[in-house]
Amino acid sequence: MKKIIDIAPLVVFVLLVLALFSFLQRDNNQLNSVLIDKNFPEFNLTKLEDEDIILSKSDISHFPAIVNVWATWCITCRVEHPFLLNLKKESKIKIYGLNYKDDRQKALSLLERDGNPFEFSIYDKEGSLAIDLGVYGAPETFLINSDGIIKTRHVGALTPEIWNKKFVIHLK
Amino acid sequence: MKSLFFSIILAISQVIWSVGIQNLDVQKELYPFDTVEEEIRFNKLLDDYRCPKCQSSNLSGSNSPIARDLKIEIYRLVKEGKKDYEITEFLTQRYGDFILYKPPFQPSTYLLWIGPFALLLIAILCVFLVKRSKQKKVSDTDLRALKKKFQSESENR
Repeated sequence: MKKIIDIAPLVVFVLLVLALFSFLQRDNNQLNSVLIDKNFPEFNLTKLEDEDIILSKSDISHFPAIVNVWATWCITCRVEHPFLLNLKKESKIKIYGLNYKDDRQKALSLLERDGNPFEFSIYDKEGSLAIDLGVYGAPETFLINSDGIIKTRHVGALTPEIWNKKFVIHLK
Repeated sequence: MKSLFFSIILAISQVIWSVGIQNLDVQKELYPFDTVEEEIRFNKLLDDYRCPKCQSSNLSGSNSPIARDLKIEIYRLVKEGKKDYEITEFLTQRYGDFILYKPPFQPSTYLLWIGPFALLLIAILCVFLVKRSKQKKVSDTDLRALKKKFQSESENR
């Protein structure tokens, strides 16, 4: 009994160190979205390609779909761009863009130059839909299943590894 | 020498003070309110919400674009006459409890809230047990020493 009491502080200390260390290993840049398993929020915003067209939630009509938050000022989005183009080519999933706090002209010329993986882009100049989605840094990607429910969210550039790990499991 | 030192300190603190005042003025211009109560409430809210991008800073302490957007959103909500809990609801429905600097008391945060007190209790218990076992040891040896002394004294007699 006495021996147990003697080593108890050491055991507690070691357990505490291990627990705290495992928390340190966690990726703090990935906040869990509270919108998982919820409906995609309603919106009324213009189309990037045509400012006279007002888009709403019902325009995202082909499921499963991903909504990708992007902008010309976002460097990581350009890193991600080839992946999206490739995804459009090789997968039947529809990709919708959410052009986030950007300049319409700049955004359009970037798509013209680098290629356009999106069915269309929603032009969110003020970032209002982005706030409804809990966006805190572009690029972000949301997966919507065939019922229009958000199934996963990734913050940062998509890569084949992340795609397989976080998205493919929801596509069955 | 001493007075030079003091005047330098004074000058520095004056610069810091004036910069602070300027920031306050800028904030007032950016987010004008009709009443002082609204303004106080707004500033208190900005102190209580965490910036989701920078993560170790509150909204008022951050100039990141998302913090600015959230400030504008909170400003709009305060101007609309929304209550504090409604604004909190608005933010947590989008960004989760993460945005709160004071997390709610719920199963997922029990460890966070109770953990420190549990640790303190364990520590006090340990100190108490160690002390008691030491005391026992001391009294045992004291007893033996006393016995020896008594024996030798009786032998001497």
